[in-house]
Parts: sequence; C-alpha cells; structure tokens
Amino acid sequence: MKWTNLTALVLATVFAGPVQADPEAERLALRSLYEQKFPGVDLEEFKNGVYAIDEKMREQWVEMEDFPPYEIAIDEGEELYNTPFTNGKSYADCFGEDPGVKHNYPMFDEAKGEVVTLEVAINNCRQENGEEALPWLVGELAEISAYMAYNSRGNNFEIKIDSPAAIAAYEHGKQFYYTRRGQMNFECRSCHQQNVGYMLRAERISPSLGHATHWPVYRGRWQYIGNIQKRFQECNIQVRAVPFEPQSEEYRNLEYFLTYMSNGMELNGPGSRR
Amino acid sequence: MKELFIFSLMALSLVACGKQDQAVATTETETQDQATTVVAEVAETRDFSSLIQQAEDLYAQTKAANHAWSVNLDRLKEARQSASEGDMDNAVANAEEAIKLAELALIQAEAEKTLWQDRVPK
Repeated sequence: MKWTNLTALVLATVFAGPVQADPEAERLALRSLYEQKFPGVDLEEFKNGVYAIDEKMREQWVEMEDFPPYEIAIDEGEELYNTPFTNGKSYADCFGEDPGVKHNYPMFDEAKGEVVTLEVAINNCRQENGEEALPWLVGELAEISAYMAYNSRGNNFEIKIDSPAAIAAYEHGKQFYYTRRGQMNFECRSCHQQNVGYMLRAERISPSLGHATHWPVYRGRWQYIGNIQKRFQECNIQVRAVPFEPQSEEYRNLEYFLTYMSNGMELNGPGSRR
Repeated sequence: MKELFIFSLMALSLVACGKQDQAVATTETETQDQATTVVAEVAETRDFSSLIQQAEDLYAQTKAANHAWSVNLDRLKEARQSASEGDMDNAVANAEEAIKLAELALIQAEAEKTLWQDRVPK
C-alpha cells in the first residue's frame, strides 16, 4: 500500500470519527458569509473575483478583456494540445475528444488515494505516453491548461467528494485554509474572509468564493499566465511562510477544498488579473 | 675620572636593563592578548557551531511540522554567510535570532493543530 493511500486511510478513519465533515453545509455557510458581507451583490458575480465588489477596478478589467492578455496562451495551448506525442497518441486519448473538462478538476482518484489536479492529469497523460513532465507553474503546462479552461467555459464546477478518503483530503485542504502560518500569523481566512473587500496597499482583497473559477490567470504583475498554485505560493511568501512545492499534497488538497467551495459556480477561465 | 667612567657605565647598564625589562613585559602582554583573542575566537566558533546546529535542528522541526517561516531561513543563511566571512558577532546574533523564530514557529504549529477548527464558518 502506498504511503499516500495509507495516509488517506488513517485520515479517513480519524475524520470519520465523531466529527463528520459536511462539505456541502460548509459550502453553503461560506456563501452565506459573503452574502452577509456584500448584500446586494449576486453571489454568481463572485466568479469574477474582486471585480464583483469593486466597480472601478471592474471597469478597467472589462476594458482589458476586450483584448485579453491570455489569448496567446490559449492559442499556444491549442497547438500543444493537438500535437501528437512521439507514440502517435495525444491528449485526446487521455481526456476525450472534448478538451473542456476543467470544471471536473481537481478530482479525487480513489485508486491512487489522492487528489488529482488538471495539471497533474496533464503531466500523467504525458508520462503515460512516454513524454517528459512539464514544469508545474508556468509555461506550456499553464498554456495547455488555459486552452482546456477556455473550452470548459460556461460549465459549472462539479467537484465530487464521495468517499471517506476524499472527505479526508477535503478536510486536509480545509485545515490548511484555516491554519495560521508564517511570521505574520495569517490564515487564508485572515485576508479573504475577515478583511475581504478592504484595501491592502493598492490591492482590494478578493473573496474566497469564486477563487478557483478563473484559472489559469494572466497577471499583470507576472506578465505571463500561471496557475492557482503559483498564487498559493505567493500568498504563503507574503505571510513570511516557506511555500510548499507546487502540486504537493498540501496544495492539491487546498485546491480541492477551495474549488469545492466554488461548486455550482460557472467556470470562466482563463482570466486576467492585475 | 675613573670613578666617573665606572658610574656612567653602571648608569647606562641600568637604563638598558630597564628598557629590556620593559620590552620583555610588552612582549608578554602582547602574547597574552593574542592568546586571549585566540581563546575567545575558539570559544566563539565553538559557541557558533553549537548555536547553528541548534538553529538548524529547530528549523528542520518547523519544516516537518509544515510551519517553516521564511524569515527563519533568512536568518540561518545570514548566520552561515557571516561565519564564512569571519564576522562571528553577526553570525552568532543571526543564529540566536533563528532559534527564537523557530521556537515561535513551533508554538504556532502546536497551537494551530486544534485552533483552526473554530474558524470554519458554520
């Protein structure tokens, strides 16, 4: 039995104890929290992140979307997606004819006993076909992901948590989100729930509801397209914590939890942010 | 005249002896100072070796607890860098700060094992 399976089993046993997690109740509670904080804002607008709650920034963003900076990444991603592997097979052999599957990721792989993000699935597909894995955070992997996200637009997120091991992974991600870290002693909640909507220097702090809907993202600060785990690393660095490795168990489970919180919301990635 | 010559010779000898004693005394002081410095440096190096070891062990514990702080890592790097450049005062100061930071990170890790549960919206 792999260690990850064993860990999942142990965690599942622990969390299947007296405190049974109820992801759906927690998702609704989170929606309610933002509903109370921002009365009058349609919760579905949170798919647009901070632009749901800041009109001036929204105007700038809408203008930017006229010539979206992520467009080149989509084109590059399409070409990469449709280029056959050396063995003649392609990504379509892994994901099917329709590349628009991002709304189902991350998913819990029962056989492996772990969370699989879209980026992990893309690299698994490559390695199963004799290709080298791509670097996680930026570059070709983010471009392929952007193309797949673009083809997934309009679908609502449907993240499933339907086994004790999946619940354990969700709980692990939830624990990460609500745990204080770094010298600043911040949790994700400190910014994205308690101080959401306030200014942090020149930036307005975004809500966690909808945090996962629009990735990968072209950030003006980066000047390229990158995925959500790159942002996780940045957040950890900002609170003076040592960031985790991309696609580590911690970040995959965090992404699983965070995306589940956006279940039922429309996928509108790839996106652009300041 | 002869007496005067002998007296002058004695006087000169005494002055020379005095100067020699002074020179010997000066050399001994310098040697003692140098020895004290060497002993202090050795002690400082030994102190630093144990400090940096302690700091690194504690940092490894924070990593294992998934609560490592970037500032802790910065202090460790600065301590090693200063030691390699012979600036032992700065090396020791940074190692001591790294220890304090790691201890705080471990307190955080321990406290957060349960505290996070109270923060989930219900």
